[in-house]
Amino acid sequence: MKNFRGEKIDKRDAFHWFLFLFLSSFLFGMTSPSFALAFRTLEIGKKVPEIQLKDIEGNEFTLSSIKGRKVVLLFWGGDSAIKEKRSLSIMNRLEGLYRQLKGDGLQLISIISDPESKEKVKALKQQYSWTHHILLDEKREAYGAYGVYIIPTVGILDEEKRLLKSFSFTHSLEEEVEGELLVAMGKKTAEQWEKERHPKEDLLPENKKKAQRHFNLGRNLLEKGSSERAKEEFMKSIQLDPDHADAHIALGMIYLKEKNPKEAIQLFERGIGLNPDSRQGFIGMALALESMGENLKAIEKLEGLLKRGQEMPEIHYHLGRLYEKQGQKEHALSEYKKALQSIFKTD
Amino acid sequence: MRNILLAVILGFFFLLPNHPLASKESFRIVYPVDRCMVKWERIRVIGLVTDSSVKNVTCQVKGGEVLGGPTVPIIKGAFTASIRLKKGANEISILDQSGSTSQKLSIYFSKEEAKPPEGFKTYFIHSPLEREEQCQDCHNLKGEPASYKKMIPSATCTSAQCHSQMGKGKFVHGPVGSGTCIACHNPHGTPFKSIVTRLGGEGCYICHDAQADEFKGKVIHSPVSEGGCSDCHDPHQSSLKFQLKGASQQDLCFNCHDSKLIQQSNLHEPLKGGGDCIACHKAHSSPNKKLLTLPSEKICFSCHEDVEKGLKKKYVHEPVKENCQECHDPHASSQKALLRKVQNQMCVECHQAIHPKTTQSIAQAKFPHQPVQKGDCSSCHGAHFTDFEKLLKAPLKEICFTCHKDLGEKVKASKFFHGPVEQNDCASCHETHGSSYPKILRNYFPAEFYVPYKTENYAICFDCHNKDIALHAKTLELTGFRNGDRNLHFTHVNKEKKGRNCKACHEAHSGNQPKHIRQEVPYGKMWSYPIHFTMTPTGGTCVVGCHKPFSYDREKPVKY
Repeated sequence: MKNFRGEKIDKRDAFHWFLFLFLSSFLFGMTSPSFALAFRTLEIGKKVPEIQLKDIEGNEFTLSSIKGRKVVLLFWGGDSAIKEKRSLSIMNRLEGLYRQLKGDGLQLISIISDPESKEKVKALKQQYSWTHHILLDEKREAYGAYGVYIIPTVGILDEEKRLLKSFSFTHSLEEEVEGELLVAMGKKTAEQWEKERHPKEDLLPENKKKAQRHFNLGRNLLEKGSSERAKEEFMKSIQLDPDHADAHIALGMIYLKEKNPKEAIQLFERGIGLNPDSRQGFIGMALALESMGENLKAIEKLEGLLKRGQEMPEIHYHLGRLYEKQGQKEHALSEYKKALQSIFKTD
Repeated sequence: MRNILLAVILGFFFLLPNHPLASKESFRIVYPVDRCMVKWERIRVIGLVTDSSVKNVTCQVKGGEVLGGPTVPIIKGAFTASIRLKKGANEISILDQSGSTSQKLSIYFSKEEAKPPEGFKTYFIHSPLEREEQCQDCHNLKGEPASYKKMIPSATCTSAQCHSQMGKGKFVHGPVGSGTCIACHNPHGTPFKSIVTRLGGEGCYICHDAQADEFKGKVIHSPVSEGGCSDCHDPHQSSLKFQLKGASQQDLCFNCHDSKLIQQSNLHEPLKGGGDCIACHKAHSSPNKKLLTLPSEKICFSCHEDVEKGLKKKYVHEPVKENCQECHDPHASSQKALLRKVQNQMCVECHQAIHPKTTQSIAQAKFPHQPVQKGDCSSCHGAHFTDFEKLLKAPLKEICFTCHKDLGEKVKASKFFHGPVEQNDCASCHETHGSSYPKILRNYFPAEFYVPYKTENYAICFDCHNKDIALHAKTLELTGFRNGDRNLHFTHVNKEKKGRNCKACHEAHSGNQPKHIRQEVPYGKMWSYPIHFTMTPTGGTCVVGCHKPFSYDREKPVKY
C-alpha cells in the first residue's frame, strides 16, 4: 500500500493507527482544550502570563506592577495598511474609554510587536495624544506567550489579572469591547448590554401594522368630519386585523351616529371583548343602550366603569344626563359636578 | 336792513335739513339706486313713505312706461312702481300727491352692453317675475306702522316654476333649508351678481364668524385669501358634505391643482377611491407649509405611528430623521412604497455623494453581489431604521444565510468556526456589495490548492493574521502549529512549487474539527482524501491521505 507521496506503508500499522486515532479523536474531540477566541494560549477565567517589556520611552514595565485595577490589553500593529487602520481605530476608542474610566480603576496597556515601529509609534502618540502605556514587544515575547494570532486583539483582565473577555478584529470590535468593558467596570449591567447587543425585534406582523395605519387614517378623517370615509377605513382595519379593539369601537360610534344602535352594540361588545379596559367601548355601549331607551342598563354600564376605577369627565357627564332623564335630579347634579371637577383636575 | 338780515337767517333755517319748520320729504326711493345700469327691461321702483298722509305717488318715465298707470298707491307705507324701460337712458321721476316731494332716478337699460356708461354702475336685480310678489312674502309687516326691517323666511322663492331644486340636495346650506334666501340675497337689487348682499367671504363670515381663526393661519389657501368661498363650496346645496362642489372632494381639488399629481400606478392610501386630500391638508389655512395639518416632518406619523416608534431604534437612516418626503412622494408614484425613483437609483444618488469610492467600486465590481446587481438594497438593508449596524435588517450572518442557505446549514451544524464567522462578520472577508475577486472576497486568494508560496497570495488572510506566519522555518511565537520550534505552517505552505494553500487544510468558514480543519481535501476531480485532526493541550496529530500520520508537540517535540 502506498500513500499519496508514493511511500510504502504497512497496511496493518496504518489501520491500527487509524483506528486508534479515529476512536481517540472522539475522546479528544470532546475534551479539546477550550481557548479564548483571540488568544491561542489563554483561557477565560485563568490568570494571564506576566508581561515584562519596555515602553516606547524606554522605561521598564511589568503587568504585575498594576495593582487593584482592571486592565485592558491591546495587541496592535501595522505590518499592513489595513491592520494599521484597524489598530488606530480601536486604539483611539480605548484611549477615550480609558480617560473616561481611569478614575474608576481602569488601566489601558497597548503592545506593539512590530520591532521597526518605535519612532512611528512615538509620532502617533503625539499625533493622537495617547496617555496610556505603550509597550514595545520587539522579540514578540508577549505576542507568543499570549498566543496572539490576529491583529488587533483585545483582552480585558480583572484585578487579579484573570482573563475576563477577549476579542479579535471584527467590524463591530469597538462596540463589543466598549459594551463588555462598561459591564466589567460596573457602568452597565450584563442584561442591559445583552439587550443592546441582541435587541428584540419588533415582531408585529405586517397585517397588524397596516391595520393600525388604516385605523389612524380613519381617526384622522373623522376629526375632519369625513365620517363616511372614516367608516371605510375602520372597516379596512378590522378586515386586516379582526382583533383590533379600537377599530371595532370607533366603527361602533359611527353606527351609533347613524342611528343604528343594534349594529353599534355588536361592535362595542366585540371591542370590549378584545380590550376589557376600553372606556370608550363602555361609553359607546351605554350611549347605544340609551338610544334604545334602555337608560337603566346604560347607567349600569357607566357605573360599572367607575367601580373599576376608570375616571373620565365624559363618564360622569353621560351619567348626569341619564340620571336627569330618569328624573333623578340630585344624582344628575352630583354627576355633573364630578364631571366638572374631573375636567379641572385634568386641566 | 334788519328785515333783509331776518329773511336771510330764516331762509337758512328753512334750508337746514331736519329742522322743525323745514319741508320734510314725504317718501324716499329705496330701490334701485340712482345712475345704475340694469339688464332687465322691466324693473320695480320701490319706495318707503315717511308721511302717512301720502296716499299715492305719481310716477313718470321719459321714453318708458309705468305699467298699471302713473298713479301708484301706497300700501303699508310703501309703494312699488312697475316700469318698462326703453333701451338706453331712462329718466324716472316720482312725485307725491301734493307735489311737494319729487325724486328722480336715472336708469340705463341695456342687455348687450357689458360696461355701464360713464357715471353709471351695474346693478343686478331679480329677473321679472310672472307673479307679482308681495312685500309681506319677505317682510314682517305686523303692527302699525309697518316696519320693513323685520324679515321672515320666504316661502315663495322656490316653487315648481322657480328655483324648484333648491333645498333638495343631500347637504343643504342652513339658510336654504330654512327658506331664508334673503339672508344672502336681496331680490330688489344689489351691485353684486346673483343679487347677493355681500361679496365673497364677507357674506359667509356674517354667520361663520366662529371659524374666523380657521381662516387666519400662517399659510392661507388662495381661494380663502381671495374671499372665494364659493369657489369650493356651493352656497346652496351639494351631494358632498360641507356642500363641496364637484363629484368628489378630489375632483374639486383638481379643478385647480394638477391631477398629474396622482396619475401614477401607486397611490397613497388616503387618495384611493375618490381621495381625501383633507387627510393631510387643511382646506382653509394652516400654520404649516403646503397647508399640511402638521409640520411635514411629523405628518406621516399621524398614521404611520410604527415608523415614529422606530425612530428610537439604535440605527436610523438619516433622511428618515429629516423628512419622509426626501424619499417618498406623499401622493403617488410609479414605484412601490411611493418612492420618488427606482429604489437603487435613489440609494445610489445619495450614497454616491456620501461614499463616492464605495459607490464607484460597486459599479465597477467584476464580481457583483447578486442583490446589489438587481438593485435590491432592501434585501439586506432596512430603509428606515434597524437595531443593527449599517442598517442591516438582522445580524449580518443571519442575513447572508437567508440566501446562502446551504452554507448556513453547514455553519449551524459545525463545532469550530473561523473567527469572523464566530463573530457574525462575513464582511471581514467578503466585500458585501461586490468586488474584483471571486466569491466577492476583499482581496486576492488563490483558487488552487497548491501554489508556489508568495506572501501577497494570502493578502486577505494577512489582513488579520500575521504575515510572517509561514516565512520562518523556526518560531516559538508565530504559530501554535509547531513541533518544538519547527514551524509546521512553513513546512506545509512555504514551498517553491507545491505550497499548500490555507484552504488545503482549513475550512474557510467552519468545521467539526479543531481549528476548523477540513474533513477531507479534494484530489483531482473524483477523489478526496480524509483529514483526521486531533488536538492536544500542547500539540496534535494529523491522519491524512497526503502523508503518514504525524503528531506534533510544542513542548516536547516529536522526533520524526
